[in-house]
Amino acid sequence: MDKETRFRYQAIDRCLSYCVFTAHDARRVFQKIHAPFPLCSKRRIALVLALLSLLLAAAASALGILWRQGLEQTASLYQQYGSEENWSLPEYEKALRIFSDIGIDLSDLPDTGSMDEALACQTLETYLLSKIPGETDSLHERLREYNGFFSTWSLEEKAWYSEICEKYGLPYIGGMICALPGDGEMTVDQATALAVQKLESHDALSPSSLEPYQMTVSYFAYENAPDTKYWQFSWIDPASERAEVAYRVTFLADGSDVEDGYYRAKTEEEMVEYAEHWNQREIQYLDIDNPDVDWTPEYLKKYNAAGRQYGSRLNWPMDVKADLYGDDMPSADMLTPDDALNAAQAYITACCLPVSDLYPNVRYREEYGYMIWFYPDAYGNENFIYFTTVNAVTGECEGISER
Amino acid sequence: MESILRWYTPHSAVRKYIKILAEIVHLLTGTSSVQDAREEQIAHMMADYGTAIKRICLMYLKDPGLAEEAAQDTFVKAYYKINTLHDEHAERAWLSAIAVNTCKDYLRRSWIKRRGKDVSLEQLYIEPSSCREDRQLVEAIASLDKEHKAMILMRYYQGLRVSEIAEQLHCSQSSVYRRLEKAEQLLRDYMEE
Repeated sequence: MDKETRFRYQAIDRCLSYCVFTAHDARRVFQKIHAPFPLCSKRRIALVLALLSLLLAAAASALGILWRQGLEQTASLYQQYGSEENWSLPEYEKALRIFSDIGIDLSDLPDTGSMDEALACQTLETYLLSKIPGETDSLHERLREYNGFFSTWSLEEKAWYSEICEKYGLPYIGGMICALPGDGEMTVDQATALAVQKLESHDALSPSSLEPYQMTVSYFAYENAPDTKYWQFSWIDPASERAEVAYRVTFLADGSDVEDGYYRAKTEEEMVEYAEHWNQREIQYLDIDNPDVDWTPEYLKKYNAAGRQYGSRLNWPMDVKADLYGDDMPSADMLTPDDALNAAQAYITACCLPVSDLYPNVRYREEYGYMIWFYPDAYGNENFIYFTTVNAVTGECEGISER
Repeated sequence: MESILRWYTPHSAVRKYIKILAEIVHLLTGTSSVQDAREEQIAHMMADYGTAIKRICLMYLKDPGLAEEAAQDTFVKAYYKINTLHDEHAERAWLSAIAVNTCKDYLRRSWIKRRGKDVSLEQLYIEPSSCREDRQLVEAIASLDKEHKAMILMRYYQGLRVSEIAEQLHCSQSSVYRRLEKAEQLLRDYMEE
């Protein structure tokens, strides 16, 4: 811009020379900055808080709606294409979109562009399963548990899901067709009061005994007897990861008792006492790799405590396994358990045997080195598929035993 | 597989909620550790550009009281948006754009709309001692519609480059050129009347 033009337009400064930004203006700016609600701060804050709660409610509601839509869409996929084993890439693309729409972060989606279709499908299945923690291998079931364990769902959510099962031909959970109570039937409040009364009477509980627990309710009929409706109330330990039931009462829709309608979780002492009556064979089935363990009540108590703390025995830390099984601890200059597992998996794969879907149990004893069992289930309750030992110094794998 | 990679981020509605919630939390919690530095930066800006910004607001709103409020609000907004200023050499352009947008917001207010569009020289409080040519030009600029007025004020009064205006107003440079050309034509027409 030339000087002449610049000078010409400085006419604004010449004509409006009285208009200057004063110290008063500057003070007002800082007053406004420090008092963002100068008119009526309490009312503004109340408005913001009201908006905040409205947004939170809307967000929760939106997520709930999205999750329901996603779950119904996967049910539709299962109806059309069967379970994941039968899916091809378009079905996995749909599943990815469903997960994304629900709000599950897929930013680390692996690039499967260079893979053949079978490998791409397998990669995507593994990836999607990794996105929602759980123990089932079904994407639909994982997605279902995205909303928490089914037993903890609301009455309305359970009824809705039973309708989805019926509509898309999915199996009912536990063979139970959940519904909402109809007109003329006991209301939820009435049924809750009755359930508490029954439980307090049956187990001699004080009213405060149930307070630490989360109450869940179901109204259902069994698939094979759809005309007989039941109420079932469970009190769940909120600290347990697997929604473990502390108390449960089940009764008919008219309020009358049913056989075996009451359940109470065993205490630690009761568990030990109970275990004493088991025969050795039954106990050994709990931990099939350890036939030599002396299953005393004390030992069982320690064993159960480890299970509660670390979950599946396959995942227990090496020092816990060493303590319970009489194993040794590998020294610092030896292979780590992870390295040993990688070596075993590589060896089995090199033998053209499938290993990726199996659950390993890694242990160490001086005389054998690393001992690694591979199970078809996450708890190692079924017979192992392979057993191998790995030299803890060289990493050499010393053969595979197949069951 | 490219189609899969297109939508790997969380649902846009969810992201929007998170953003709104974060903004509300920021609003409620108020200040931060960088507050002093921001205040110092704003104080410098007010000293350097305060008067020019206030005059832009006056040209836009044609009301000294409103112009004062708008100029103050421009710096309040600048304070809260300071992290969006990535190039300190672009301060003038950045502040001008905030001022223009603040004035546009003011003009949307219903009572200002009702006030009427024709404002006389007296209402602009132009210095009586100004020369006739200056008064004519200021009056002509004040008579322009808000889009063309923004072009003239930013380009010729603030001396911004076309590329700077385009960046601040989020439009193409060719669009800025077209609007400038039109604005100059309107000014010429007004002056010839």
